[in-house]
Amino acid sequence: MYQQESELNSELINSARSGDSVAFEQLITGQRRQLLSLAAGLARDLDEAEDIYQEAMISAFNALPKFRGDSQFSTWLYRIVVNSANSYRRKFRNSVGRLFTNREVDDSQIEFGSSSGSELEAEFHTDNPENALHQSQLGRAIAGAVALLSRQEKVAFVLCHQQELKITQAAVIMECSEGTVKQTLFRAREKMRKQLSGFSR
Amino acid sequence: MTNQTNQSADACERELIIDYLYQVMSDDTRLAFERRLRSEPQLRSQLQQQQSLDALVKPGVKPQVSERRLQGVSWSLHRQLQKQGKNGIALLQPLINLWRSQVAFKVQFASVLVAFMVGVISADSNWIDANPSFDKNGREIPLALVKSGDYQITDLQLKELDADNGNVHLVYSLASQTHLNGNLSDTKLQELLTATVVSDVSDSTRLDLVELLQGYTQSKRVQKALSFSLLNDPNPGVRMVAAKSLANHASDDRIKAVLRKVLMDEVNSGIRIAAFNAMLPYLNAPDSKTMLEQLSVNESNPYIRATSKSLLKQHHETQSNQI
Repeated sequence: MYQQESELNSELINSARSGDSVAFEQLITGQRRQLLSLAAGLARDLDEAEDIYQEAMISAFNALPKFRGDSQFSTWLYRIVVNSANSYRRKFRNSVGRLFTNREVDDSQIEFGSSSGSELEAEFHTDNPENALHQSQLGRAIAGAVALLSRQEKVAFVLCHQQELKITQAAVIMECSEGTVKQTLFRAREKMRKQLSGFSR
Repeated sequence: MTNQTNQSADACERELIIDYLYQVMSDDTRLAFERRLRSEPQLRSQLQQQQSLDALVKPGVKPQVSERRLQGVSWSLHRQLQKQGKNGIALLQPLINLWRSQVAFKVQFASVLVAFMVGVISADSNWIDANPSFDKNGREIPLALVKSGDYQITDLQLKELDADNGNVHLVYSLASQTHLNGNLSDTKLQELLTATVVSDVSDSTRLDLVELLQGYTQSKRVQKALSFSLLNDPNPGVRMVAAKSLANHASDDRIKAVLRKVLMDEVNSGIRIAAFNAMLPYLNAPDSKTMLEQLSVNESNPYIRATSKSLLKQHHETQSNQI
């Protein structure tokens, strides 16, 4: 078992492994907001993020007997969310449903903010209408720029930049070397920078 | 060869810039890098370009997830996990265990209660009211059934259900836990359940109840309770079951009014689609035109938006033909 896994977590993991869904829910309780936010970063809107999150958690619960403890439990969950997001996109591309739900990038309901709502309000709250308009346009442009990244670039950007995970952790989740994460992240940043060049002051 | 060397140097510099921006350098490496920055304008310029991006897209700024959405998705996951090969009665045990063992879970319940009470207070329909009804003797039906002076009904659990004849065995708490055997077609039992579905704090209980009541939507009392849940319940799963249950009664003007309100105010697109589909056969009426106009412009869901546009076109064509 990974050394940093707490004793309580280890007990819960063992219970969940034997099919105790309550133990599994307790295991993920503290991380669900972050996991859902990760799914939202990889999805086109929050409804899709919910699907990805639920699919990932069901997969995690079913795959728990295979969890060897080579990485932290949270890292393992992150990896499953990322994989679910990737397979969700593939399924979506192959489905006829795409024809009917082909939304524009700015139709996404995802709003960006820091980890706490109050911080976000403090950051974006302004009495200046011009500033508010600028922030709103910037938010849409960011969502649009993220949507234009390749799948791997998006994962690297969401993990390292949005979720602020360490490069080493991102490498475990993406199942590649740290160097690859850095190169992919740099490419993602370059694309983002070019897309958002109109907003630089 | 030179080209390869240059590419390799570029890759190395890109990794260094990433290391610097995401603070994964040791102190020594960072100092060495900062010395290079002072002497290499091209490297400095590359870093400044990347820093300009950080000024626009701050690290750590991530998609927001509201408490309500989090509660909804957690509940939905809870239900899915329960369905993973467990039998009926055992389904309730994990929730009970969770309640007993998790402080956080109790806090969640409390937050659901607060959100739900806000909904009860702010509900603005004359027809849909959250007050329990009274029998001829002026006694509240739930209290008459449970023999208690405590008006608070919580933690209602479905112990047994005979799907063939509708017999149920329920356990719920007032001042003390009470067992009640009855049949779902019994109007007093329906009153108890409808009073509970609009007031119980447990998501799981309310969902069990709306699922039970969906077979009894001929009753006006049940329609009323489901309408209240559809408009006010904090849990999207409960609202979805309520919407689907009421869909068969969309010809009723009062249900139509509820579905219209859902179409305009509901945040969950799946529930809006359920309400929209229920109303589809009635949207060719002239009084639907204004609503269709709004939906065809403001609705974020492409299916509702496109169908509204198409129906609106039909409205216009019909009008032109009449002229």
